[in-house]
Amino acid sequence: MTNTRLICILFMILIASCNSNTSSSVEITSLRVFAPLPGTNTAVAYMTIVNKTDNLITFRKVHSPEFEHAEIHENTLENGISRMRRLDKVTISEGDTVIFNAGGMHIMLVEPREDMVVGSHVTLQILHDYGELKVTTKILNRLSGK
Amino acid sequence: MDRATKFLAISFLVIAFTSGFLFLYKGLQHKFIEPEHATILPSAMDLPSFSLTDHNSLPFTRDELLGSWHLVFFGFTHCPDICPATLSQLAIARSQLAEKGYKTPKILLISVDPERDTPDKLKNYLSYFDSSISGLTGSPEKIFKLTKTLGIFFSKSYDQNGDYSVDHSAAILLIGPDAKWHALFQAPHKIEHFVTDIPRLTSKG
Repeated sequence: MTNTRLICILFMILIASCNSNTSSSVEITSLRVFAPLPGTNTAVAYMTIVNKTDNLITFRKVHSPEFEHAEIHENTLENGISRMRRLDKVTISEGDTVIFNAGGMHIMLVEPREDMVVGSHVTLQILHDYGELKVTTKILNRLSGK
Repeated sequence: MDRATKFLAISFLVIAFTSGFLFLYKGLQHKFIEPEHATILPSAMDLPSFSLTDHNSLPFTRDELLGSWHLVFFGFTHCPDICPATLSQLAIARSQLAEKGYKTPKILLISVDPERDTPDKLKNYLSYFDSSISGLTGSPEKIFKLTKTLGIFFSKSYDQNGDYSVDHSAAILLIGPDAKWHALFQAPHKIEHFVTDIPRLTSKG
């Protein structure tokens, strides 16, 4: 019984250490969040996610305390037709990079809880298999990118 | 100098003068340079007559297009990604063309979501970009009739919550001052595509 407990504790420590390493090895760069346009209730976030771990990582949920809800979407262009669909998950292979950009994958931040203007702070929590990535940035102007 | 020599000398001078004149004339004549990205229609297409409402709640018909070049994009205000990105690109391209001293086309957003895009909503939305951008809306039937004639596709796509997005053609049409459709920019769009090609297309003789 004692041995079993010991093995369980060691196993949990092992998992915790894996989680911590994995989270710290997934990086978000080039994060840009644009405010909802006048008369609309949806902001959009673009970024680059780099998976520097040795594991395949799946992102399933995004949360932002400043918005009622957040969703991952993808815009595709096929035969000249633009289509936007919600994604249930985004998978990044070990060592790979995924780019969220206009006309491709993006995060929709819907229904701001307060006025979102250029300079407002936004926090994104991106949940994946081994933990979460948490980043905070300022809202930018779409035209100037500043 | 005998008569034959005189005749030859005068003939030579006439030919030299004429050749020189033609050479200079050709050089001075405007040369049309093909666009690098846009597709020119084999023959400019007459737009059908239409009657829509602009973002100031004023009537907008085909005649409003006469006299100016227009870039026409089909989109909707609930589109958070590609529509604002395209309108931003058009506004930036227009500003870059103006800085270079070129004539700038007006920009038109025709809503493919007319049920949600009222004139007031379009006005509020477009105020973010550029005062030269106009928005058009109208009954779904009128929008459908116009887009069908132009080969522009749009269709609602519902999600599990009952919300919808609109799938739509992403092309941008270049309409001439004669209210005819002259050329087409296919997506994906880039600012430099507009900046390079619009002066070429709008100076086409």
